[in-house]
This record gives sequence, structure tokens and C-alpha cells, in this order.
Amino acid sequence: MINTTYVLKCAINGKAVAIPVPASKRMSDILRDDLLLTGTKVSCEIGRCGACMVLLDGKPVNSCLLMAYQAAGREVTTIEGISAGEDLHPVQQAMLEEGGLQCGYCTAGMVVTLTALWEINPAPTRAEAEQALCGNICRCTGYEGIFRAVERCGLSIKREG
Amino acid sequence: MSVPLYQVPEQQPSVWQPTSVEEAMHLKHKWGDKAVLISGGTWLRTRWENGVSPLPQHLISLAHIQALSGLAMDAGGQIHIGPSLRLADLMDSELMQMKCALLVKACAEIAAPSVRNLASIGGNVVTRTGDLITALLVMDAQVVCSNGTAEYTLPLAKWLDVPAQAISEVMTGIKVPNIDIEDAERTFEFYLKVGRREAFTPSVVTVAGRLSLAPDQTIQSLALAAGGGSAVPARFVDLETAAIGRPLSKDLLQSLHTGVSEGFQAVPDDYAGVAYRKQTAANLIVSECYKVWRKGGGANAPKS
Repeated sequence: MINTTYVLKCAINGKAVAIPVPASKRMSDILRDDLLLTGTKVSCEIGRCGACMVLLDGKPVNSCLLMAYQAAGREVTTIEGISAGEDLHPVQQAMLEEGGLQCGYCTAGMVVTLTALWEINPAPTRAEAEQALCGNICRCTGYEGIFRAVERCGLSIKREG
Repeated sequence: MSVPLYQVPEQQPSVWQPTSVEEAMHLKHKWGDKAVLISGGTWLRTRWENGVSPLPQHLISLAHIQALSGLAMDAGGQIHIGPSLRLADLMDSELMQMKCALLVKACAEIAAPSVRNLASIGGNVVTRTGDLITALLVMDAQVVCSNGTAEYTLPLAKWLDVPAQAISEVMTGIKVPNIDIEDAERTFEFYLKVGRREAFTPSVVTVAGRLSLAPDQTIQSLALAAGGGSAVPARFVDLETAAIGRPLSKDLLQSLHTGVSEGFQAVPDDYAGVAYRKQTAANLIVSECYKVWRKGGGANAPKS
């Protein structure tokens, strides 16, 4: 039996979608191939690199590990849904200002992960940021620009505190 | 560009979403090896992508079986963990932080937060090599399994003895016995994982232990376990029995080192050999027991 009749109903970037896909199709493929949301990148395909990170009900998950049926009835947020229209999210702004990207391939996943962290902890310590980002791999060079961006995001809170 | 098989629509497995254990096992018995029970699926997908396991024709999701995802403590203080519970949810639970800190610590050493938001407790255990197993072993955990018509409870250590391929059942619960609060001040626990990088790393060696001292500083109870890589984690029962009633001493630590080195059934792979894993497990366990010796008020404990 081939499961071709499944219709995935969920919300993607705040909009309700109903899309016929195989129930076991990977969310990363659905986003890129079916919905043309190509901001989500695909690299390792086994949940190790974090390039395909999305938020599922606000929590970061690897969309290459997430199958269609697992997203049913839930809220998926991709990199395209992080910013508010023309306004960049504070994490995106900080990444831009601190040069927190090299080739840029990992950047979408990094921003998604850091957005989830920022929502619960806008001024993390270096150790907390490292723990949050341990599933996001950058192959270009070091992570200092990214950690400077994390620091910049929380600076006002740290100074007030 | 070549397209992997799993991306061809005709090759996608069917997904079945039963709402009861009985229904899930009925489906499993119907299709046998053509079907796989799946919870978070993070470990299974890695195996499919790496070609270690073939993509099955049918996935039987356990996500809609509510009875498999609970977390509660009964009147006797025993913790009941639903195998479908996510690692992240277990870590966030105040109950688990208070009563099962060792298990919370073990969860925190597994993969990355994004994987822990999907991966299940039971999934880690049914791999038989998961990082939670050493912690659960020293906590004397039991597993509850069902074949769809009957349920049985077995100590985790015994369950691990049965080869996975011989089993057609689903894990329906993990039970962790109550820890006597009177012993809490003299009870020490440790969990250590050694990998090839700091975080999000497969285990080369994982050890866990629980040690309680009597008022006279002799060992009242001792549980030690080691695993890592492809090794099925196990306790060192003979070693533990021989140590109970003895004071922590240099001689005892030396015998623990020898016993762990000889008793750990390590498995070699491309990254580490058996000798390295045995020595690492022994060093970690003895070093933690030495810290207990110092912490536990051992006035005669040497400083190094």
C-alpha cells in the first residue's frame, strides 16, 4: 500500500496549510520542494548539522528528522517566518551587525536556533549559548562572530540587570 | 542528480497511527518485519539514511497512544515514565529533577536540544546501546513490555539479555524505584560520558554509579554500570557484591579498577579499541569513587 492520500494540515509561518504528501515525507523536503520555502537548507540529512532547523510549536527541531505526520496540527516556523515583514528579528540584526556568518549556508539554522533561545533567555551566558547551538555546525571557520551576535542580542538586558 | 530511494514517493512507507497498544501490536503482528514501531524516529532515520537498516514498508507510530507518554509518581514513590516521553520533556520535569537527577543529567548528554525535542526516552532504551541505559541500570529500573495481549515487568538488566531480534513487543513503561530519602545525604551518584568532542557526540564510554555509605563509612550499597559505542551497557554485579560492607580504601579502588577493566564487555570500532574503552571505564569509575571517599568524610583518604 502506498500512502498517497495523506493530507498534512498544520500551520506554517502562521498560515494554515493543507498539503497532500506522503505521511512519512520529511518536512525539509516539504518546505523546499512543495512549498518553495528554500530558506531552510539541507546538508547532512541525519539531524547532525542543524542547517534545516525549524521551530515546531516554538521549539527547535531538525526538519530532516521530522516527518509530515509528526507536524500535523502543529505550528512550524521557518527562517522565512522569523522576521516581521521588513523588520529583522533582533537575532538576525545582531548576526548582520557582528558578521555572524561566513558562507551563510548554516546561518538560517543558526538564526532559528538562536531565536528559540532568545524567546526564553534573551541574555544567555556563553555556556548556555554553546549548549543551545551544539546542534548547529558551521564548516567555514570559528563561531566567534555568532557568539558576538548572541552577546549583542542580550547586551541591553545585561546592562540593565 | 540521483534521488535516494526514500525520496521517491512510491518508496515512502505507509504510516499507521494506532491509539492503543493492542492496535499497535495487531498491526505489528500483521506485517512482521515489514513494519517498524516508531516514536520520535530520530535514531531510526539515521539508520535508514546511513543504509544500516532498510526503510520499512510500514511505520507504526506510537505518538497517539496516550498511555505511553505519561510521567507520574505513585503512592510508594516509584516513578513511572512513559516511553514516548521526549528527552526534553523529561529534562524539564520538576519531578524528574527532584527524584531522578541522574537521568536528567544523562538526557542532557544526548545529542543536541533540537534532537531531544523529538527523541523519546523509550527509543533511546530500545536501541540497547543508548546513553540513558547506564543511568537506568544503576537506578535499578524496570521495563514494562506488552505483546498486545499480555504485559510483563522485567528488570532492565534482564531485558537487555534478550536479543532484540527475538522480540515482537512494545515497551509500555519504565519504572524507577523510590530512593529512600533517609539515605539521600549519604548517597552519591555519577554519570559520565566520554566522546570525541565536547557536545553532541556519540559515546565512546559511558559510566554511571550510585554509592551509599553507612554511618561507619563502609559501603552500604553500590551500583556501577558501563557502556558506550556498540556495547550493551551492563552492571558489575559480582564486583558490587564484593565491595558492600567494606570501607572505601586504596585496596578497594584498585580491585574496582581491575574488576571493571576485566568485566566491561567493550566493543571496538573505528574510533576506539577494547583496551582503551576498558581502561577509560575503569579510570572514570575509580575516580568517581575516590571523590566519594573524599566527600563522604573519609579522613584517611589520600589527597591524590
